[in-house]
Amino acid sequence: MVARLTGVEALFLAGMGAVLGALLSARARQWPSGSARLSGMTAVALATSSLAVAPVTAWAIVLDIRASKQLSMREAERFGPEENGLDTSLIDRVARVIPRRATYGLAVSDGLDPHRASVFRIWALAALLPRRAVADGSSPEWIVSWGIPPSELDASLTDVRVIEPEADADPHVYVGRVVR
Amino acid sequence: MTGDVLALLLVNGCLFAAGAGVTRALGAWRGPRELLTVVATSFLAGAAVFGVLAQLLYVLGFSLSVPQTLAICGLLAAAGSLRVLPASPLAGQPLPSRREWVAAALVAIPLILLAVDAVYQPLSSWDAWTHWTPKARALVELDGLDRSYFASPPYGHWHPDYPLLVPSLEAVAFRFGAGVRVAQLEFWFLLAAFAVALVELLRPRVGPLLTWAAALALVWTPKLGAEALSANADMPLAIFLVLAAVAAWLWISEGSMPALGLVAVFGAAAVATKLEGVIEVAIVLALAVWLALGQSRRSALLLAGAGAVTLIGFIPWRLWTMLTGAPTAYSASSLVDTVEAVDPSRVPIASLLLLRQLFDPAVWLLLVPLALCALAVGALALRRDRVVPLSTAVFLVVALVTALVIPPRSYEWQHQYWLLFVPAVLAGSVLVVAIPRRTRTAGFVVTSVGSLFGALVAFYLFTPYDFAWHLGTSTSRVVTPLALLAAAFAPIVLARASKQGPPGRVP
Repeated sequence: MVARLTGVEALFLAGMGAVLGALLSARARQWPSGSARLSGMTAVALATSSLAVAPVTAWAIVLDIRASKQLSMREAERFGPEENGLDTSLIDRVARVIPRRATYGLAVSDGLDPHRASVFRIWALAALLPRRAVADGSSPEWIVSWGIPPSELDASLTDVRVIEPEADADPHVYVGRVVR
Repeated sequence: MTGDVLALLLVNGCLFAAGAGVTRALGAWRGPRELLTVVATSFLAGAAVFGVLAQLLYVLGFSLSVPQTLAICGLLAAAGSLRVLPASPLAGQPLPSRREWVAAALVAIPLILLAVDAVYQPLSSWDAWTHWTPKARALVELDGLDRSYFASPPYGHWHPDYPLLVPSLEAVAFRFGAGVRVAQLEFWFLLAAFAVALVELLRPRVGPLLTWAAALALVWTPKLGAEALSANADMPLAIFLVLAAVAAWLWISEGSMPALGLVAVFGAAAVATKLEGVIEVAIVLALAVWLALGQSRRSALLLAGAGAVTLIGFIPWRLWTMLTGAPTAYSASSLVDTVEAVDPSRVPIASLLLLRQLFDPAVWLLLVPLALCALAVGALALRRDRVVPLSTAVFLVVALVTALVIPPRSYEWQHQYWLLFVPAVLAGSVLVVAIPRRTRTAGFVVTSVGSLFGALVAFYLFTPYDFAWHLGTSTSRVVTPLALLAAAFAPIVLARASKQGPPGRVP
């Protein structure tokens, strides 16, 4: 939510408000001293600079409310990762496969955009709770891999599920139990 | 949705009850009438104390379930009967005039709009959805601070070394049944209470005109609403830091014991909100102690004592992160590497980008320039010369040109930037030296803001993260405490300049 004005427009409007407020306050009241007048003018300018832009600020909030109101509860909660190009339903489907309280390791293909790979990891950490992610080199009970087929992973997997993303261009997500 | 909002109201009712107990124990009010004059201050004190205690209790292994939360709030509310400090009402309020009611209505309009916005706002800010809110959800899901998650390397994206006040406040809301969708509403409560608390604390001291002018300017500044609704920790940090500074000023100027207690309360909360809170509280309170030293050694010593108490918000948490080996971006070894690889050219780039963000009229309007003018007016009232007005004018022109000319994602140094950097440093340095020599209150503000600015530049100079990424993702947020501090003290400085309100002991 930010006033939809450019810097120059905001400066002009707020500046006009400040100047008008300062001039009006200097004339509208008997000040006991020059310092008091200067203080009063500055204070009123402070308020009127913001009030001059108030209609724009209020309208920006109203527009923001209108746009946000369109979102469902689910969309609003997942807005961050979805805006960053992640299909969060992928992780939902992973959560249906891995039992609660199990441990898992995350592997992401080097061919994926690093930012999206990072979003995948970050969202998975939160969405898969209370399942616990373990560090690389540890021995997890499950492995979640985005874009790396099980045959190319260091560990051998069983019960592998392939989760297909809605976007055709994205690689598959593989979830499998580590064979011990 | 209605159930979520009601759950959040219940949580905030508990925080208010806890805060009312704390402020009464500190002697800020005696009866219900006096409580009405410090309602918002009490609510914020409740949020602050609860947040700090919650972090401490998580470290000690508590889960902060609903019964535990109710018990903590109940105990804090009951603490009001103890009266730790002698009663000395913090804010005796004369009844508002008709004009003041108009001003109050104008203050309420953006706050009401923002409240509606907060209910529907999606969780879109990067830091909010990647670590602040997930940490809160994890505290609930894992029934406490489970070190196998919070101190584990795979969860490094959550910044496990960042303190827990904000996730604790969100976690308690989730415990009471509020969903993630209304998480931003909790931040709105803090912003709204801050605006009202400023009115409560300043109006009896600086008069209605100056108080309402500052309150109006603050609530209508687009950046404050946007920052509150982002559900990041920067706004709560700014709120607690500024209230600690205002409370320190009340202690120094009036010897108010409740204010001294609030320095500890809000300072501890600022420290428990973000890592840089430790440095920022240290800077502001060190300067306040220096100011108090000019009054009396006792005043300075007690203020330093309150400053020491604020470490409750930091030391237990820091010990937990050290003992559990939680991943940290600011480890001693990484700091050594960063210092060795430091690039001095980061100083002007970071300085200009911070200046750009602080003076950006598209989001801050003229809040910061006019707050700076207020400091200059405060200095001019005591000694009329050309140094302060000239330096202020040069600094303002350079800062506004920087805000309008430099692109927000300008991480590469260009030679023409010297034309902005050199005059900004020169004019800024003159102001930091000249204003404290003329007025101690304005001097406190200008040196605080200047030092906080310097600390932020130092953070970026020694950042262990990618420099461009760190600048690009944080400069717009981290300047919030600086702007809020300058704006909140503007009426105080102007009152001193115009001799309005009862004269304090600080000239």
